[in-house]
Amino acid sequence: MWAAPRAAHAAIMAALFVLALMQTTRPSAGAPLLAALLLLLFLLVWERRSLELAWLVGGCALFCVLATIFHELAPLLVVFAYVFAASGAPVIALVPSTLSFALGETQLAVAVCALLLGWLIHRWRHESNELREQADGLRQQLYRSEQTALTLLSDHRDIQRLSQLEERRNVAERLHDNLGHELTAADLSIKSVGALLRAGKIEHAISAQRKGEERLSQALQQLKGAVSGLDPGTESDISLVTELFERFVYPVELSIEGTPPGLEPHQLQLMHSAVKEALTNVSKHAVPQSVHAKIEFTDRIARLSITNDGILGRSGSRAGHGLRYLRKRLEAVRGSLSTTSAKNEFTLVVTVPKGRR
Amino acid sequence: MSVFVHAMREAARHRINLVLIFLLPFPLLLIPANGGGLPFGLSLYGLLVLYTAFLLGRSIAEDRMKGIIMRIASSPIGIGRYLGSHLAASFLLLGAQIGLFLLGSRFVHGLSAETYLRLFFLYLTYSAFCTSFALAWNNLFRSFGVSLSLFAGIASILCLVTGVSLPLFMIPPQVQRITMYLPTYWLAFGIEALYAARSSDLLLSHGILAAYAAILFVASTGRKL
Repeated sequence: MWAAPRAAHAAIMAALFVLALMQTTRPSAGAPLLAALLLLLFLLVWERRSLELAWLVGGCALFCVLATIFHELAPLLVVFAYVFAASGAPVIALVPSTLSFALGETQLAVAVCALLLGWLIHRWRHESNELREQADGLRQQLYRSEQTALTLLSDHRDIQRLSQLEERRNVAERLHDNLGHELTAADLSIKSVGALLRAGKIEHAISAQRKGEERLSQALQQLKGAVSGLDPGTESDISLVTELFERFVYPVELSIEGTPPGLEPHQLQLMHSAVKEALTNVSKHAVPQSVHAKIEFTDRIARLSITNDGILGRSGSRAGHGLRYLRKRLEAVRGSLSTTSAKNEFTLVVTVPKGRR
Repeated sequence: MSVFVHAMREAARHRINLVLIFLLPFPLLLIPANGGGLPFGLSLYGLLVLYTAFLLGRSIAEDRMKGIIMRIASSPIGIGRYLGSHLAASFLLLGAQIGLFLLGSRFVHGLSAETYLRLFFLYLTYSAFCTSFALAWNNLFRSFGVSLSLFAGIASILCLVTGVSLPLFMIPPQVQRITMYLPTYWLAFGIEALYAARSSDLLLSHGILAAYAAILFVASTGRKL
């Protein structure tokens, strides 16, 4: 695509050059041919080496002087006119084309055509360059977005790990500050019972034993409390997911198969995010008559599928940023996200593997 | 080992090159002149130089085709030095061939030393064109076999219509008016000018052949690796 203006430029230049050469060397003389070849060499070096326009102006000036002395060289000036026009200097291009016409060696139509073609090629190259720059910019933007998504994913994993460490520290604190103290007290009470019995102080021993029992009872209560605090409460998390369906603007036919437990909290969070993203997409890109959702729990995976009809336009077949980002998050936990669109129905399927990675 | 020595070794590795350089030119010395003019073998020798230059350029073509040129491009040598060394090696071997051929001609035809000196420089300019032409031609193809087979046909026709393998006076002036745009024409033209002692025409031949050589060299070396 980008090479098209360059190829057209080369073809036009070659055609003009041959035309000028045929006119220049009409009397079968070698000297004009040599001049034409030197001109071609000069233009090749100028283009290949990306020399300044001043070089071209200098070369053209030399040829103009030569053409006024040797009129048979005048047709070659048309090539200069074309090259100037194609380089975005149409005013300078007028000089060689006018001189070539004035010396009576070139038809007006040829001179005008050379100028127009040069100008068209210049515009074409200019627009082609702009398009290329835009495409490059978009590619860079996409690259930066992907890098940001990767950084976010990495941060997400770090936060998850930090949360786990924080939670462990909390649990350790609770066990040490409450349960640990109670158990130590109970241990001391039981040890004192033995000492009191050996000393024959039965009443005191009974009292110490009662205290020990109370301490143990309290420790048991605290242990239960700690365990209930650690329990993620899978039933309630699934209800968080199902609540999204219930609150959705369109009615959703939801069916749940299998037993929910077995998903880690972050995996349930992913399910939650997936449902939220899917439902947002449905409301943005469709006016559905029916929305079917199915959550299946097997021994190894949790599978969520959401199907809706009433797709607006053709936007349903391509994944947007939200789905792309969600797919990356799912793939990070070895899950998957896939979409299909057929017969005005869009289906999104998400799988999340159960258990720890 | 320098690239130049490597290029010389590569050229010597193919026996056909040695045959072309040291054996094939000599039978051409036996071809006599057609009427007035220098012996026709001197003109026909231009065809042999064209083929020799093409075959000497084989290593550059093969390096490009095998992708070796990419490794060279990433080495500290530089493509300019690589190409320059290869072309210098080809040019030196062609120069040696021209020298031997003219030495042989001195014994067979016995022309004046000045004529041989002028012929030597004319052939040198022509061989520069041939080397550039071979380089540019090989740039167009991905396989050396295809390149060679097409080159054989094109070079034969080129030499036939431009007075290299057919005497110039046998070509009608109308055809010459067209074939004068072809570079090989200017070898035959130069040899004729040499015989007729037209120094300006000989100089013109040199100029046009050198210009063609430079154009083809610039056009072929500008291509991406």
